[in-house]
Amino acid sequence: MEKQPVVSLRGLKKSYGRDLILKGIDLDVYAGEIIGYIGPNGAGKSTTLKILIGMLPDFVGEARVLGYDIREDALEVKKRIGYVPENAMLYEVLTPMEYLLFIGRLHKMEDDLTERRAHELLEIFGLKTHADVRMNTFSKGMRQKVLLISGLIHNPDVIFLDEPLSGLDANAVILVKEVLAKLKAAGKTIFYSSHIMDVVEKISDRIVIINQGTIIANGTFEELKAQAQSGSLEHIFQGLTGDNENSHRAEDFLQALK
Amino acid sequence: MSKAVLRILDLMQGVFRWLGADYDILRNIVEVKFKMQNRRPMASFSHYKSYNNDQDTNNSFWLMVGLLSILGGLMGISIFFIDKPYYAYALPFGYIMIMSMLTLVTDFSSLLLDTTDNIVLLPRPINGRTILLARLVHISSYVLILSYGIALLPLIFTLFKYGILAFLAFASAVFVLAMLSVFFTSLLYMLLMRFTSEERLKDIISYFQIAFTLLVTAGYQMVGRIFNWLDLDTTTVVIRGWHYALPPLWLSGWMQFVIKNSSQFWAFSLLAFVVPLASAWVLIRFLAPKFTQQIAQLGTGDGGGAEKTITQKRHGFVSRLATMVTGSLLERAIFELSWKITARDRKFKMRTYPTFGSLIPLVFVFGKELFDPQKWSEMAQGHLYLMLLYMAHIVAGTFQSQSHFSEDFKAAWVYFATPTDSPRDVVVGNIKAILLKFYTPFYLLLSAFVLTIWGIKALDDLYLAFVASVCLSMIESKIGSQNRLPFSKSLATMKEAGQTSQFVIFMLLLPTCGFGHWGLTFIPFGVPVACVFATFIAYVLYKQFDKLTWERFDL
Repeated sequence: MEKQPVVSLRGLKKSYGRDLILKGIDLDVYAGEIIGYIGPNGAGKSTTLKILIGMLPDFVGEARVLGYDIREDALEVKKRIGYVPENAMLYEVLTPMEYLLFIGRLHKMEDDLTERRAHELLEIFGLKTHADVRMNTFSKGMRQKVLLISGLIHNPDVIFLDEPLSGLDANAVILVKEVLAKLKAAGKTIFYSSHIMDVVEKISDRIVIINQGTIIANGTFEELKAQAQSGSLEHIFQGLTGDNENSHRAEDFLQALK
Repeated sequence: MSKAVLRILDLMQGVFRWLGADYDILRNIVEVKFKMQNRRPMASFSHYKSYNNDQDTNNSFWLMVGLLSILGGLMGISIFFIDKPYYAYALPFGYIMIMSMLTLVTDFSSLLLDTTDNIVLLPRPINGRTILLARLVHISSYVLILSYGIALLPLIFTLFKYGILAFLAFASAVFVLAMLSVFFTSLLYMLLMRFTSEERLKDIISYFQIAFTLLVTAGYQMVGRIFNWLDLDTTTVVIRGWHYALPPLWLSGWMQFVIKNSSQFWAFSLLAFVVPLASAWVLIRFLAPKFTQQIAQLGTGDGGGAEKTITQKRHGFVSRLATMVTGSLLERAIFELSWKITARDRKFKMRTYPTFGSLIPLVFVFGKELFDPQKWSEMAQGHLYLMLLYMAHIVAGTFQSQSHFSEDFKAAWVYFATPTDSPRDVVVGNIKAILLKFYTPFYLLLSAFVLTIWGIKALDDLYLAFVASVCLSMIESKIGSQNRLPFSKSLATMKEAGQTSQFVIFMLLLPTCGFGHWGLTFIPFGVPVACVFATFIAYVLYKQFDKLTWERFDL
């Protein structure tokens, strides 16, 4: 029996006004995969994610998550996915516990269950003492931890992460990496967009590189390495996104200062 | 009290289910919104509140309602001493409408345009109708609480004076008025969002906020005078054509209709109920879905495409002016920095621009003669304009003391990280920019006015008052704010810092200068001599800045 893709995109296009941000994305993601989705700034990473979670219903092409059409059954999709946005956007006048309870209720979870999970997860992330403190005093890393919890608290099957490591300290990064590995082992699918190459390199089963709205590479790290004949993801990335003139640029940079 | 609202919602849950909402989720959203609203400082009243305890406000909304209901009570006193309900209720109704609309515009900008909302709610399994209804419920309960809060005391007055029937009529009228306010505000927002970008919208809203503060300051001056316009001295009630254009008058017409059985007010009563009902229907049927759609698009796009990048000119009038009035490169840099930040920082504009309104009461000091050119020669005898000139310093003082505060106060590290041997240029550059940008044009305007009425002989007075004001600015900078660096302090420290010294200057030094100046006008050649003397003082004060050293500052 052929495996059904968990996420499937066909000819996905999206434009803002006159600018075409996504120029036809085709992509399949299978259960239990960790996909590292990378690309330069403005390549369309966040836009792809926002379409996949049903935040941007206005697009061209076909997008399916867990077999549901995003446009038709956005609610069914939203019930089964978790999303961690970039920029640490949350209701910062609430406390982590209040926020998580709120999110739990939006997912129709019983308060007891949410509270129990929230307690444990906050403790794991070292935020136990801050559970009832308003988040407007929190650092970016602390908010990011709360966001990670809020994206996972309803135990989703597919997890979309947009720059999940931004602002986290080294220990938290290691913890999140471990957590992602465990989630994968539990059969969850993770769609992961990031700038931090070495993390993507280490945890991803498959790496998808997007540039100017199109996918320019899609494969395991080994495949990409063979393709680009280069040793690290950073080099592969540079080669593919056409930015191999960086050493010249660095030279020019110094010249401009003289 | 938020609980009471939720309980009322519980009673109505059938309605929401019927409308297609998931009630549990709706309730949850509304509850959280109320909680957040209570913790958020109210924009429209931030002026009167200290910033430092904002972080822990739990009841800011109820505090505001309390304050408004006291003001509403003042407005409602007219019910007791004016025997014609048509006139007596015009003021409370007008007040309710203006207040609820303005607070809607100002405070809801932070709630409505909060793009966090989209990021948090859209990825969750909630249907669109629930979000829309939750928003509507939140807005309506907000406006209703506000309106009934303002109407509380007038309602009690009505009950005492006219009995239960009038009370019920009044209560229903307030409901109607609240709906009208929601309608008008939504319409305003929709129009603004239709034609401007998000950033621009925030700018426009901040101008509304400024207007709001101005209105509150000037409003109390106007109250007494409104009745003059309303033909109050006539024995019978006169309806004029333009009355039909004012919604508060529809409702006071309705009150007249109910209390006095004045049948000529049937048209008002009809208007009072048909228009809000019709507008509510239009709002829910046509506008609201589009509105939420527009809001939903606000935060989701990366820039949204409609956003135009505004490129600022690098070398313009400001840099030429800066080169002219500043000595060193650093001073010039600071001058341009202050000039630009004060033009672009919304919060700064909100804190400062309303002070221009502090001169409005003076119009009433000058009185009616001001509008009658024939009486100007009479006015020209006195020295009343000195009051105007010295009051104008309040503008300079406020702008300057506010220029030390900023939301981006952390960016002030640059002053400390750059190799500047003396902070003098930083402090002086800022003072120059503020004086030239805000005070001088304003003062020139006033001068033109003074010269028109009082003639050329006021010229030396104009000069003296200007130099005095500049001196006061420098004194304020030295003593008052301990030479704070521009935009280097957080808003939270605003309350404790410098307010008392500013008070001393405004209340003590400024009047002393003003009365001193007035006294000089009685001495022959007093003012011209003082001009020379004041210029010398200003020079000495200016030179004092050279002695500044970095030891006195910290981040």
